[in-house]
Amino acid sequence: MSETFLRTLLKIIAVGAAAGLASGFTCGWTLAPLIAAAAMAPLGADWAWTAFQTPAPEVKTAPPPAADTPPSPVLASPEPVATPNAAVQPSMDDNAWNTHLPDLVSVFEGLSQNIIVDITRASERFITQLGTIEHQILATNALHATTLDDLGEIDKKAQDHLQDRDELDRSIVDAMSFGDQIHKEIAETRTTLRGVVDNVQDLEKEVSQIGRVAKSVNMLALNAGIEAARAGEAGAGFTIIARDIRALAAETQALTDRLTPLIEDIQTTVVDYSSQRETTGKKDDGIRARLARQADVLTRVKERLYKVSSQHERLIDSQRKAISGSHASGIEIEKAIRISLTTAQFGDILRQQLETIINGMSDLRAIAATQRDDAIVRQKLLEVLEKMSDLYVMSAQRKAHADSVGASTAPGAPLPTPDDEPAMEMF
Amino acid sequence: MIVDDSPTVLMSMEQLLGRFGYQVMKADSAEAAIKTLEAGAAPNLIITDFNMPGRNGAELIRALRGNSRFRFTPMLVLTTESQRDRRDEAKAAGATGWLVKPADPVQLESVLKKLLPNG
Repeated sequence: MSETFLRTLLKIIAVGAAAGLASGFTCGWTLAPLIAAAAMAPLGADWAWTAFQTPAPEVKTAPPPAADTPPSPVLASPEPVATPNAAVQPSMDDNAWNTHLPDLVSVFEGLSQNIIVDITRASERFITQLGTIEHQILATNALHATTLDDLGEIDKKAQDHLQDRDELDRSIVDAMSFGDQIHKEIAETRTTLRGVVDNVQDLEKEVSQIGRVAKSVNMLALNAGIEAARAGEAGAGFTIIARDIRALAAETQALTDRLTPLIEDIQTTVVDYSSQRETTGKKDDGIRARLARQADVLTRVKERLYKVSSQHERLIDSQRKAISGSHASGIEIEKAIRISLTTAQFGDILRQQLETIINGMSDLRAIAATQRDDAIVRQKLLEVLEKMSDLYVMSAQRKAHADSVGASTAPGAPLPTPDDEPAMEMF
Repeated sequence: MIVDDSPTVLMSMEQLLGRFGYQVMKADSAEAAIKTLEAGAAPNLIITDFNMPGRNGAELIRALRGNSRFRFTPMLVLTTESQRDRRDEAKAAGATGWLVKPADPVQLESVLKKLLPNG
């Protein structure tokens, strides 16, 4: 196997290991390890190459011949001189490194491929969850935008309702003053009627008095008749009677004089009351018109309040949908975050896989640096393979090992498939 | 209490369990966990990684089961999918169960609710 080929292979392995370590860090860690890992790659290759190099055997050459000495055929060309303790070198085909290194490189290659697959899977899963989170946030924002639009509409309507409210206030004030007016008019009417009643009572008294007077006059008239019957001769008594009758007549006249103004008062009062009623009748028409206007205003306000109530219902419905949508989005976002958190644990699994490769390469370096006996090197290389397989943490690693070295399985355990393996068990 | 030598796992499990409503203590090795517990910490559940430098998860569980304070404390082991022999070793040491890394959040929550019905 040529030196260039081996150097290239080791560089590929080192770069693959560094890339795996770097990609594991992209699950949210800093850039510093990424830069360090990238820088390590060529250094790792050179280090590995230096570790695998073996010192070349010493070649002793004869000193150059003197100018006038013919060249000795024996010393014409240099010959390698075997070192005292050097073992007999096997042929190229039997060399332990040549036998086992291809398998080891194949195992490293398979393990590195696994890491690439796992990194890709973890990254895709992480990005998928980020997409889910973004989608849910956008959906929630859209719901909130709809609610804001509804609020804007209601805000505009609220400005119109201010005018309605002012109009309603004016109507209420008008209705209250109208009520006061009615109350006042009723009070005036009551006072007027009370006056009428008082006048009537006075009239009754006077009328009673007239009745009494009338009785007295009748008695006198009777007495005058009697006296007149008696007189014939003497008329003196009749004169007295006549005087009394005159007095009664005067009193009656006085009564009449007193009654007349009372009656006129009553008449005036009745006339005034009638006039009042007429005026009130006209006022009734005005009041009816005012009441009709107020009813109209109240009807309009009622209709607009109904519209506002409908808009509020729509807003509440919109809010309910937005909140429900936000709640559902929140649940989806929480799920995506939890999956992303568990995806971060892939980093630890990738780390363990890389450590297996790095430890394997360390073991190879140690063998190359310390072992010269081919049989021992052969044994050590096999031990490296076994040790690596004991440390595998994923089924895919065991499969890569088996595919690379042709063994049916890693030593000991059967080869499970990921689908057969349960993810948890309670004892 | 979460016991793992990986800062990534400690961070992700702390955040995950926190979202489930649990308070979390962390330890980055079996020795650190034992030290914290001997100082008086009394978690009602311990989740430990299996592969750790120094004592592994099974050895930690075995040591804690020997302490009367933790004889009945549920203890789960976090393993990777290819380590069935490790799970048997954990069971023999006294583990309550195991979970494969990375732990599925739905399954993890379900297990926690069963082991800690009172939260």
